[in-house]
Amino acid sequence: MTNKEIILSAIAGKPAERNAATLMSAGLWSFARRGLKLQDALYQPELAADVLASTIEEIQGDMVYAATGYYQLLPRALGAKIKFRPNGVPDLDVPVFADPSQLDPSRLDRIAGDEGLNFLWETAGRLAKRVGQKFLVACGSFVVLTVGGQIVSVEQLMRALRRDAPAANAVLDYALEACWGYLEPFLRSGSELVSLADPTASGDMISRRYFADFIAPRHKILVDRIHARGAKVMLHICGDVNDRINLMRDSGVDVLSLDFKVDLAPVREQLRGRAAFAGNLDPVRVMLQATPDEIRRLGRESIKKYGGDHNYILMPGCDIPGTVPLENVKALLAAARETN
Amino acid sequence: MPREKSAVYRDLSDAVLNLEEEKAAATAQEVVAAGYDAYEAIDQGLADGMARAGKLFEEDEYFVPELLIAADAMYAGLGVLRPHIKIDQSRAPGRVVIGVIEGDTHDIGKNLVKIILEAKGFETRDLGRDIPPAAFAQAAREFNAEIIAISTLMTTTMAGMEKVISLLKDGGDRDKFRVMVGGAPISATFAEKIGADGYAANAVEAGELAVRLVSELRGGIRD
Repeated sequence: MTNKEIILSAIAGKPAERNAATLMSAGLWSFARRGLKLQDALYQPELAADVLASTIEEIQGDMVYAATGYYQLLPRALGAKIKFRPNGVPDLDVPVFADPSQLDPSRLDRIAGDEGLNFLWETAGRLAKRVGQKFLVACGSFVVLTVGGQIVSVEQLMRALRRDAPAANAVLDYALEACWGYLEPFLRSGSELVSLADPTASGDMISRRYFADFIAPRHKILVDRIHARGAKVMLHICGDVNDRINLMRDSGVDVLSLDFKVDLAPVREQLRGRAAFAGNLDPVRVMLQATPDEIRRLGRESIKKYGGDHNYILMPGCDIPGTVPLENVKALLAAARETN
Repeated sequence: MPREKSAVYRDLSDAVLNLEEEKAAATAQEVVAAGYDAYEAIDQGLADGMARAGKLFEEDEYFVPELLIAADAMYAGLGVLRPHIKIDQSRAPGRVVIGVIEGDTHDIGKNLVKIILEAKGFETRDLGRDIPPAAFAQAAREFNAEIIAISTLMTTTMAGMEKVISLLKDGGDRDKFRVMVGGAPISATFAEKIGADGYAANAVEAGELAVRLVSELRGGIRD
């Protein structure tokens, strides 16, 4: 079986010759180990695709993400000010609009013509052509509440959830269409899985009720649109989501990607047969700070505990820092190859 | 005929807890009109309400939206009462320099910590976000701070926290300050490793930690 066939089997809940395993995102890590900054890689799609392709060939993960680490480029295309860093991912300096009353639908038209985003879509296309037969090529985006926070600031949107539902809904609808404008070209470029990331929708930030009322329905709209294009969907929400696993599952996603704060044992019970799940080794305390032997042991333990239904994907609980040693990544992926 | 002081303070507290900004301001006006002690009203009314809201946050009854709006109500009342605080009562339980370390612009966690610290009566200097390590050290000296509170949400910027501590050591005044750190990727182990004095997992814990650290500092205790 190819790596892609193995991870697609896990997503379908079918047996494979071994457990699936992958990094999450890892764009920053892939470029950093070649001495490339994200900003440099952005404007060189051929080089970026080459780095991502050669990295996945070397580490033999089952999935490779195109264009991760650039989640501030969508708000920049809409008018936000962002700042690139010598290390790490870019930051949002100034949101797109000062407040919800200024939402301007015409700005959404800027997405398709944005130079930076077009480079990302080109990178994804090159990557899919190069390794898409063997590895599952994914794209990713912040979505809904997190993008809404980029559009009018997180604090404004948080207040609106409680005090001004029409304004919150207007921002979230705007965010939804912006996300789709960003993601749809990835699907045309050959990405076969879309990773939706909504860290602001965590149980550390908003209540389950707000998640159910404002966020989950919009996640479902995105999931349905992506499914209609034939691609799979992974949903990642950082932090504690124990109280909203069912709501995440009911949006129709194929894979739930879970942070290290989540206990996977009850998740396995809740998902049985209805979705796959991925996670959740701590990206800092395990992937960065543990030894390769410890990582291999923890990976094997996770597969033993959660892999029995064939729908578990061994993965870090979030994106890994750019400084994680290659040996640690190889140890994680080796743990999956040592199981059957 | 003014209402009983305790009833007014209870209303102040309830206004914060129930996220009622206008009621907090109106009740604070009532405190002033009745000639009640502004400092006492802040302590037993507004700060009490914020502490109750913080407790609900810890119990997963309140979340970030509720805590932010509770803070809006607290600040609405503070705006009315602050000018009426008698000078001899205005000494804060401590002075804090707070900010997000360079390279990171995620400041909602820092803002929540600042709210809780101010509810506890701390005087804060908010440096904002994306702050170079040297600016923390310089501001702490200028502000005569006892606490330096540093936040980051990103693994890539954690190293800047250690740099703040090394700059204090280089300046020869490390012992004048207590350094507390927090943020999603931070842990007690990391705090200990870089030589920080404390770590808090959330805003409410940060408030308690700050009180303890100031007490230790004034008592001359260092682990």
